[in-house]
Amino acid sequence: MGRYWIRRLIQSVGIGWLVLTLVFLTTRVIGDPVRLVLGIEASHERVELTRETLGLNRSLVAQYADFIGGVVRVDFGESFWQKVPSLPIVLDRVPATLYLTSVALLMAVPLALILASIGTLRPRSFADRAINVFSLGGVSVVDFWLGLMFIMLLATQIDWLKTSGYGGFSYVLLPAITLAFKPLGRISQMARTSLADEMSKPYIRSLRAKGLSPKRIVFLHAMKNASLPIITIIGDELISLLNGAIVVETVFGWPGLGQLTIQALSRRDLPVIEALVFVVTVGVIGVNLLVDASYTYLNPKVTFGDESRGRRSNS
Amino acid sequence: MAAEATPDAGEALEGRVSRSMLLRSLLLDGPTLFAMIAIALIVFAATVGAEIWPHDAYDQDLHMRNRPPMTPNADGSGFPHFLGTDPLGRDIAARLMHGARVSLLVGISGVTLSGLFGSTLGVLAGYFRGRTDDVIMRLVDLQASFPGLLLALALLFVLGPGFFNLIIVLALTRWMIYARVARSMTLSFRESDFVDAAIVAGNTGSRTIRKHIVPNLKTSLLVLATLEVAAMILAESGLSFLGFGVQPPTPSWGLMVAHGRDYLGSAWWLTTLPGLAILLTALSLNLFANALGAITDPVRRSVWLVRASARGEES
Repeated sequence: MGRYWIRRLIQSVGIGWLVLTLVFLTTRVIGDPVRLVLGIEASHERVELTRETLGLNRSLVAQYADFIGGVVRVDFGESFWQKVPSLPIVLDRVPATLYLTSVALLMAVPLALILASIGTLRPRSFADRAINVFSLGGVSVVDFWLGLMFIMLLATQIDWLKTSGYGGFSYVLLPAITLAFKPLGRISQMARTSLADEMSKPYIRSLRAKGLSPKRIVFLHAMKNASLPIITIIGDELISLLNGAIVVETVFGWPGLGQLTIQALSRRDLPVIEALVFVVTVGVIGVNLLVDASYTYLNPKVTFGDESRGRRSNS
Repeated sequence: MAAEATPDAGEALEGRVSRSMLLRSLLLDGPTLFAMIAIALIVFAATVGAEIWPHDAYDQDLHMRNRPPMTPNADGSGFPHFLGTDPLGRDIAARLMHGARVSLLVGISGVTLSGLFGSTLGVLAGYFRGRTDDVIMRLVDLQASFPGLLLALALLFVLGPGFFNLIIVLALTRWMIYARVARSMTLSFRESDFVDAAIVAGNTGSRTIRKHIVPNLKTSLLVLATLEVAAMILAESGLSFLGFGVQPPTPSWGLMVAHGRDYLGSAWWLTTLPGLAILLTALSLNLFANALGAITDPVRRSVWLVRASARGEES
């Protein structure tokens, strides 16, 4: 057990290094960082001057050593825009995004499970079909538009709803609902399918024969056994919530990582972008480790001790 | 789903199911019929509609700014602005139809690129297994766990905006799903007798793949591709909304929503209509892909046909 997690940790560091090297290569080799920073219209003299001051006229190897050295010292250089170290700028934004995404997820997950259970209790009923179309709608709607519609239709009617800024319930409600729609649709569809799979298994039949009520069967027994694929998709959703956050935070002026992404990109603030990718990569690796850890807790059959785990097992 | 099959579902499985029967079953399902009609209308609007519509998508008329739907022409003659005009006095209906063209073009060419790339890698991983499999699937896992929108934004930042860059970036961020599906199916075919027979009969590796494996993958990959066109269109609209996708003055639904943002209070049609267009397109494609998945999967097909015939008798 312990050895498995140590190996996972080493693997994670390897992945982080790979991502950062890719970032380095794309910005320095495919793109010209000076052009990225100054834009295409900058004069030749200015380009050369900036190249020198940023140390970009040195060899790639020297730049790479510098870059990796910076990562090890957790120092990505100063933001071009704000002239302060870029990593703290990024870390400052993390709580806001965590706050927004957790509220969204806390709304989406229970509701998705309830919708999926209603469908499972009455398969192919009108409710089941309506829920299916609704959850497909949740997947098909674009979050930026949904957010603007909420602003237009709700915020103008209800005074205490805030459409922009950072704060308590009245601020977080609209962006969180907007952000929740996609995971709501996807989780409820996934849960519906895995519940249906469970319901076809023999143990459900014996529970029925025993006289257990359908509700108890679905909520207590099928749900527990269907939880593995559901946890997997919730883990996936945690990551794609970051995609949603980029858009939703821009629409609602929410000062999180998503808003910073767009700001840094449009200001061509390369150090901030690099720090941002670093922070997101660390976050993604952390979420994946958490999801794997919850597997062992939920299903004792899953052990990570030996080599047999993972993709190879299904070949 | 199999559990919900009624006992007589087996009858539908026996013998070959005729094409007309399948088509009829599609038309009998309300949501599917709706989706097919909507897709036909959207394709028509994008190809023929945009050409024959009396208003031009690029013609500006500053005397006719932000006019509501059904506004008659400036001189009171001719065809009215059916869906209103935008802040530059351009006809919204014409721009929506041109936007449909852009969306479908990005969706279909992006899906073709990513589908070919992803499924080729997936087939290779599944056929050759071992190290090839390890390297390819590691890459898939790595990229799948990273937020796609952030990756797309970063790539577009480096490559610069533009229509072709947009398609390439979208294809590069969405190929992993094909690799996963193609790999797992190829793995199971690899174990089956007909592939063994093909190899024993002296077929080379590439011939076995082309003649015996790829034909069996086609249907599933096509269903997946239909789903992915919707996802691709949503991704394009998001990037365009953020200003990193399609550039003005080319009409794009995402861009139209973004431009309508400043007029939320005064001109609802600017944001509402393009968003509805995105929703309708994505929802129809998702519904249609669902039905397509049901009738091409032998197990789910029986359930589907029994349901459809039951509904046929009711009516």
